[in-house]
Amino acid sequence: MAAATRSPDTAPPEADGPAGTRLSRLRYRLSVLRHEPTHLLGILLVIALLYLVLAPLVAVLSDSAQVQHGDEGQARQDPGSFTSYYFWRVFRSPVARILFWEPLLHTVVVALGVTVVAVVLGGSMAWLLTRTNVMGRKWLSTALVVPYMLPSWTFALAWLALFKNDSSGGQIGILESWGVHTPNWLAYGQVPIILCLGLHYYPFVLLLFGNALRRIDSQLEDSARILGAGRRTVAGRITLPLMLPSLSSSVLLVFGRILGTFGTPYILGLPVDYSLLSTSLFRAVNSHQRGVTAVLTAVIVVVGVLVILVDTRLAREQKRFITVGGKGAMDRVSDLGRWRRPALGAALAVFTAGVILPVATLALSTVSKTPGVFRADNFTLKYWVGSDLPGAPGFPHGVLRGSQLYEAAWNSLRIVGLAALICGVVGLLVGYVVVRAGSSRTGSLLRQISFLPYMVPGIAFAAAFLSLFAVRRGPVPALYGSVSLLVLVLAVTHLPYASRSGISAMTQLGREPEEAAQISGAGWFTRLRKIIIPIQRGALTTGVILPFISGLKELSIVIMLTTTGTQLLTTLSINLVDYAYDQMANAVVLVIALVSFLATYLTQRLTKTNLSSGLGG
Amino acid sequence: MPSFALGAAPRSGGRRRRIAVSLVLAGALGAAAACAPSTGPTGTGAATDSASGAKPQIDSDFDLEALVAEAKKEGSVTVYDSTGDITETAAAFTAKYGIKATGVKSKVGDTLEKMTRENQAGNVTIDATFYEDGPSLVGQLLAQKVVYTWIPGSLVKDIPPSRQSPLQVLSKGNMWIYNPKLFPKGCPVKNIWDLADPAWKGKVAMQDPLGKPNIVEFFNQLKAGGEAGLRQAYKTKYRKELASGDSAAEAWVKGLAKNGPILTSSDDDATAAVASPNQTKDRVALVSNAKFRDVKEKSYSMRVCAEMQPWSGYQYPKYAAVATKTKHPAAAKLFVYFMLTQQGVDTQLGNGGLPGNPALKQGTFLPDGLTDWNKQLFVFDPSKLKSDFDNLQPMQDLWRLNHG
Amino acid sequence: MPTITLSAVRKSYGSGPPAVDNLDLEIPDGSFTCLLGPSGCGKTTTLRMISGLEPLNAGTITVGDRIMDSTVDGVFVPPEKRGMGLVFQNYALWPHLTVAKNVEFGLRVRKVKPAERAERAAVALKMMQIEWAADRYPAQLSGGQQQRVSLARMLAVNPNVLLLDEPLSNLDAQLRLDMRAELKRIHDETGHTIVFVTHDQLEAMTMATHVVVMNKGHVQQMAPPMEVYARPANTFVARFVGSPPMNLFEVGDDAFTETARDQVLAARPDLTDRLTTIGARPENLRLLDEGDQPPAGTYVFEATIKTALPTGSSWTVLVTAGDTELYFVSYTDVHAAPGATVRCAVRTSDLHLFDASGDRLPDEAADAALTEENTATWAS
Repeated sequence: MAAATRSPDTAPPEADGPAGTRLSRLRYRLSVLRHEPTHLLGILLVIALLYLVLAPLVAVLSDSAQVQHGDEGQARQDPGSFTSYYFWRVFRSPVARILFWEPLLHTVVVALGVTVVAVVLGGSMAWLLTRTNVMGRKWLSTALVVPYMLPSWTFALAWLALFKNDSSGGQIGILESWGVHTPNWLAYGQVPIILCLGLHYYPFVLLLFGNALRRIDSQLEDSARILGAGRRTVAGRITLPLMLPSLSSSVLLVFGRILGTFGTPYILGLPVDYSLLSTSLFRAVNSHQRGVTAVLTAVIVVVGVLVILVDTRLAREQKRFITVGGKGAMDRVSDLGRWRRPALGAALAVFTAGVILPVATLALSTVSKTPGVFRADNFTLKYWVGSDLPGAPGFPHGVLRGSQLYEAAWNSLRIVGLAALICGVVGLLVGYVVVRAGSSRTGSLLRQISFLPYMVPGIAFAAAFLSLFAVRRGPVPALYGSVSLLVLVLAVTHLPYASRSGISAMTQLGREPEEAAQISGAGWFTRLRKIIIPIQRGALTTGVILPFISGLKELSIVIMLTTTGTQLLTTLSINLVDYAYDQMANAVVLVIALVSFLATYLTQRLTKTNLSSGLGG
Repeated sequence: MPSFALGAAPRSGGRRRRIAVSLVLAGALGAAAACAPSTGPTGTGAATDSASGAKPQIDSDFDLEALVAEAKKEGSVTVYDSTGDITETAAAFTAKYGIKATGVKSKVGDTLEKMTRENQAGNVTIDATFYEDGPSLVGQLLAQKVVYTWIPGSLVKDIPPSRQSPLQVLSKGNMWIYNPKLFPKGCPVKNIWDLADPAWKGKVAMQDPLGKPNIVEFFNQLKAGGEAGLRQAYKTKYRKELASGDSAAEAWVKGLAKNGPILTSSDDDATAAVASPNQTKDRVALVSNAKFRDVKEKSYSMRVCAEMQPWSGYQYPKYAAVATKTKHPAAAKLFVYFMLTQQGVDTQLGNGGLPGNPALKQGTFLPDGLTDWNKQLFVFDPSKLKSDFDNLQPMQDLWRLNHG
Repeated sequence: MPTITLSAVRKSYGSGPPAVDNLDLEIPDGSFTCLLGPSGCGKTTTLRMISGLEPLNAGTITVGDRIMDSTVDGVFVPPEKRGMGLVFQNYALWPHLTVAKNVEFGLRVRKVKPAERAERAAVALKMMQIEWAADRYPAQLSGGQQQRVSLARMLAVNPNVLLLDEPLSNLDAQLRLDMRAELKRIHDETGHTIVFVTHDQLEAMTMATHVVVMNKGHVQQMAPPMEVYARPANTFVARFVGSPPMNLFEVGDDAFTETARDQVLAARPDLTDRLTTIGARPENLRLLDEGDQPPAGTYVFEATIKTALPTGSSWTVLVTAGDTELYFVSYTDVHAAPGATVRCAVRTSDLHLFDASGDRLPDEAADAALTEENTATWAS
């Protein structure tokens, strides 16, 4: 019957005659596409992300090869003309060592150090939580993730409150005031930067590692034991290699963040003139050097992309032998016996260093008139509840009074929450397309490009978003000036968390459950609504919460894209610093951490999911 | 550069190509670095030292009532400023004229970036700005006609010409302070050259000049207008002339940088380094006059180095400018006018300072030790702002290369 | 009623050789058709193309007179509109829905009223004898129970075609046996057309009415199971179907194969130029006892015993004749020790003859039934 319906008039003599004409095959393919929106969705997502991620990046990076206004004197060229001046300045000029090479070296050292600290802390805690009967397991699994909810510089603040010596400005630390001299290497620079960032980022490793440990087929370990391998051999030869993908994945996440974090390194590095690429970038942005900013951004992005490539490569090699256990995976718990208490002690020590110390330091600072002075008359609650504070025209009362804090909190919840929701859904769709599209170009392109924002320091391209959206471009109206732009940009820049979680969750799920629904007669939307989203509830939650937590701490993008001073918690805190009310600024930071924590906790309770369940390995 | 980002994306079968692209990129970077100008760039450039760009627009038919009426029609105005006081100013403005005003506190760099990009896109939300960074105002915002200077005709005669281009609305000060509890006899530093002398190595606290363009501008202004004062002070201290030909300011900046000052990320830390209750070291610091507000609150003890030769610090002005493409031109102008009146400027002089309009009274608050703003503090020359802008980076590099 | 027709179907992934190339296949209405072949032969791809989950690169698929795919007419019916049922290898139950909800899902999207829905789901569950698990979640069930649910889910919507993708491969031996009977029962009771993918020839032989042997994206043979066994269309099918596999040897290298050829050609002189490979099923080879006189038309040869492996009901014996290794199945104990020389016999009419390209040479008499009967005789 196929032959009967063939239209002989249009058919050119082709070798594959029964396949139909080119036109009819095209019609067939279009009909397939119409019923299977994955590819279309994938292409739309790729286009949207290319525009939202690459366009501002290109805009920023193109500054590196153009003489910027005001630099015509130095570059000896007209503004706008092509130049290699900025590259020369960063890589070869007399200041290149200070501007680039030293910071590069420091960045590598710090990144490696932080990774080691994070892996050691996160890995051991993950093992305690998933594989042992350590006391208070359940409670610890929530508590040990909290450090990630604190803005990273709170660790620097706490560190200085403890270790600051009198060789730098400001108040000396507690140790010093007790007469214990803290040498410079302990108080500032490399060591504290590594420890503080390590404490901040170990939850990444904890979540990823814990997940992988939970998913490992314990039969694999058992079979090694039966073959006569000792505990240590099993750990070294079987468990560890199996954990490598999640290890490289968490190293990637930690490494990527460090490239762009400038708060902690700036505060801790400044007294001893220890700078990283990120602080170098921060200085360039602050002194409006667009050309140098662009070159440094390029370097950071290049390093970031190289790290991604290495990770992809490692992951591919490891996939050959990795079997993610399905049936054999058991919640096998080893009895710590008399080590239960000491193990709890170790976990509590991490909790103390990662949560109690920074939070307590911060909390203490909000009730002290002069920081670090322990005298009864130095303590006050007025920064929280005072009704009349002199000298601060913009904020003449404690943070809990008046409406500013509540408005800012509501704005944060509303804007960041909406962005996080979009992130979660888009992240899941990205995962969906990547898995459905299999090895096609769309899928892999989408996988890479949705992770790219992670490698671009927000401070470097926040301004580019403004240019991009201040005017109407094609179907996109001029969004600048409305809150929707802020939501959009926050969603894009925090998408990597969600897309990562979405991809890993969808990969694990595979395509069969959806195909089963398709065969059962369900259309695309029904499948998405009734099958995919409900099954992926956990991943979706993670894909919402992680962007939420990190979005809540976002500052540079918020500053650049809000217009009439829509106050968010972060901008409120920064403005309070300007009023010289550090106490109140810190109080707001505490509120941010509290909101993060409550949102995470409540979401997990309400959806009965676990933050780690969707992060994948 | 964009080709790299694109090249990084496709995965299937593209790894080889991707690596090739990275190599090409690396090569390009190398080449770019190699073929750069072989001699270091030398400062000044071609631009003349006049506030080139836009000339101030003097509104000779200024009619306040008409302006108010027009502004009311426009309905609202948004003004960016680098101090939080702007919210007070905006509130006072609204109270006086019944026009909704939003004052937004924003760092100078952010304001610069936003106004430039808004202007390029033609979607302007910032109607006017009170702006503290003169060099980038003249070198970028005015030069690129992102903003213009507007002066009400009725006040032209009150404001000296030097403060008209750009229009100066007020000045505050950064000053050297010491701890009178540790030095009851007065400031241990009598001469600005002491700060560059090995005797004060590691004892000077200040904000990181690389994070605070304002300090670099001070260095540049010293180079342009402080030469005589610096040489005189040098002679007083060392009883000999500074070698002629060298720039006295550069010599001083070098010395200061080499002395490894305690650099802080905020004024607060610099203040605390000198004035906090349990601080015992011999130190001086460069801080803003606003920090004197903390004295009572935090039981700080601090005083301006009033005896310091030739100056105890410097004044830094704040300028007003109206966005060229504003949708609320009348309201923006009215806001600028308001800032030139006593009622307006008072909202920002709570911690002391000088109004730009000399006909107005200065802020009642005076930092301890300071008696005369204009005599004790080095005053910037507005005609040098463009060259300050051009020399920002060379001066930063001078600092960078000498900071030990 | 639907006959599934695939014509000139091609499917390729990426740049490699096509997974399925120029495939023509007609699956009769009401048949229980097995797609059989080694992994990577294109059988699952074929099944997925029939279901619509995998679009074609070229070709036409029709079910009855309804065109499902056609690159000639540019028609594509999406899977959800084909009214088929598919059971996955890993069952693909939805973990967030109870068993009952899983089964009802297809009815729900077809907008069947709640009461009828519940009833039909109950019937399907009952048919699969899993009604007691209606309120449980899939994770609470064993593999076999999940399999039943997955079948019930498919049956509830009363599909016109049932597609099964290696549905038994994850079950243990006993369950697999039960499920085979179950599937056969479903086929008998419902009369559905069933297409079943497997790499297990025993499954194919026991359940199917038609077996389609595939290799490298091509159909090697399509026939009823016993015919595939008795008259394999080529050496691939000959080797793939039957356990232990058919002995195949090329003729003319040594005395053993030469004699074999001469014996065959004596009866079939027409094949003189074409005969290249001779096949003998292990179960058609017989060990002659001392003094046994083989009937006429039997090829008798001497061989040396290498090993004899008991399988319970029989022995699988490996012997060498000249350079050729041969397996045969013996239903009596082989007393001879390894290394002993024995006499073997095979009826020349039981030999399978293939040409140089591996295709079966025409039989003199198309006597499939006879062969079947003979096999029985020899086996007893």
